[in-house]
Amino acid sequence: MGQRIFLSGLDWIIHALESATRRTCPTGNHSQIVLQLDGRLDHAALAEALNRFSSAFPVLGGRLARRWTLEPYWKVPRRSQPPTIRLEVSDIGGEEFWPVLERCANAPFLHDREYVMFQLFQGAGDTSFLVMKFDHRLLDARGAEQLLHLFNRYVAGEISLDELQTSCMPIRPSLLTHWKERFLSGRSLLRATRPLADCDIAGVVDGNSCGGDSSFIHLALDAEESKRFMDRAYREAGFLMFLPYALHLVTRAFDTVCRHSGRQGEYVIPCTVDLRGPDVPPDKMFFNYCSMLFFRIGPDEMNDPSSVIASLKTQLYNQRKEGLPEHFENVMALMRIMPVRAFDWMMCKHMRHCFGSFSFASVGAGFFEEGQFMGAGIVNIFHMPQVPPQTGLGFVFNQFQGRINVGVSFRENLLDSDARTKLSEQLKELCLAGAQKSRDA
Amino acid sequence: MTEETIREKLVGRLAMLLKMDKDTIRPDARLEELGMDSMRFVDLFIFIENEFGVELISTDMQRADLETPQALAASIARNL
Repeated sequence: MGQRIFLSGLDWIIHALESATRRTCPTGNHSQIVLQLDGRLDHAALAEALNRFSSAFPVLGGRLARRWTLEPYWKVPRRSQPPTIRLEVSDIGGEEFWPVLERCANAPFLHDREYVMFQLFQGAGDTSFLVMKFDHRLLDARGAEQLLHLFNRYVAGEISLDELQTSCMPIRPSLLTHWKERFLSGRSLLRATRPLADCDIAGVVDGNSCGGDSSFIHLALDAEESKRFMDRAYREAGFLMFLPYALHLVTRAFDTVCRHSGRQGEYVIPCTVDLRGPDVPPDKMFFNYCSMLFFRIGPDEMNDPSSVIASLKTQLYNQRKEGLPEHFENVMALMRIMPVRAFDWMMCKHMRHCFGSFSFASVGAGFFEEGQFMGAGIVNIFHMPQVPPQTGLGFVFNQFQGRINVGVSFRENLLDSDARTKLSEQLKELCLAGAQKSRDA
Repeated sequence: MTEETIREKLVGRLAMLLKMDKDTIRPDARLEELGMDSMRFVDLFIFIENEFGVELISTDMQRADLETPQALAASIARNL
């Protein structure tokens, strides 16, 4: 009998999303972190280091199982063969990097029990990209960044395999307790989300045409642009109000696409928030520690950017006061006893196949402040997540050494080339300068 | 309530929100550098409202009044 790690409610949602994503696209619900480097890596040394490193994480060789009480858990096998992390190396010469990274993002894992793999793309010059692809069932975005960071520390000799083995094993209680409290949380959550289920959501998902590969738009702000962005955010939304400010910008960019394509309705935005705090302790690196906030903006509000910001701030305040992310976590702990397919069906039924206009996440500042990876300088770090089919489009913000990256991920069948161009141009304009212009200006 | 008491309570709450040891939080530490984000800052606002009865949302506080536990405690004391 191996080790048993109980899954949280959010882990269970991720499993349901995995199931839904695989129905429309073979790649599943995974993501990738990209390290842009200013040097070439010794790939033999990298492969060898990955092999040694992975042996500290038996959780990478696990699989989903259920206890007799119906609680799902991650079964970590007790076996002599340690898990391995695969590395693929491609010399792409003078080929453009972006299409290569997109192809990599859309490539599935080799088999059902592969959850992490690396791909190294070496260019003609001194530029290379190291991609860490990860399955969301095992890692969320910040957990994955932490894993990569620990690998970097391991390679640099700052941390040993023994230390990794003892500090990184997750310990999680069953959570099938406090039933009354969880039912009360369910009541609060339903009260808060029922209006969302009834509203006419403007989104890019159209019936069953939510398949297709993911495409990506990436906007990397330099140090000066990022500083101006933060200054504007604090001036227009208030001190530390990055989240409402960034959310209002992407909503405005999305509004442009909707107007262009004649889509009408309210904007409903599920927003992922991390409950761990600014740090990711090694024992909370694997699995998911996020919850959700939901924002709603009426199309008429879009005429006045400052009222959109004010509305988002009020909604953030009210949801925190209600303890909505905690209620969500509480309720989902009970929902885990449902089979994944039944849970997936129920989510679709409740939200009428459209969970929101788009999804939003802010990963925040990363862990690589040292700026070096195996002797090469890190130019940038950014995320390329597969977007769930229920929204078809998502925005992700992250920061590296104070510089902001804005990523957009969307199912390529859902946006025509005109809409993509408009979205990209509008996002760039809003992030770089014109934050106070009204949408009709 | 003295400014010092307010500051101590604020530091205690910050430590809880940021999952840090409260002895490591200096009164003049900038919240941004401690890793404070929008959601946790709103949580701090709600704590201040419940604990001290001060609704920061409806005051005319500037960025300088909010940047450190020390500045925040002084602002709360002024608004009590």
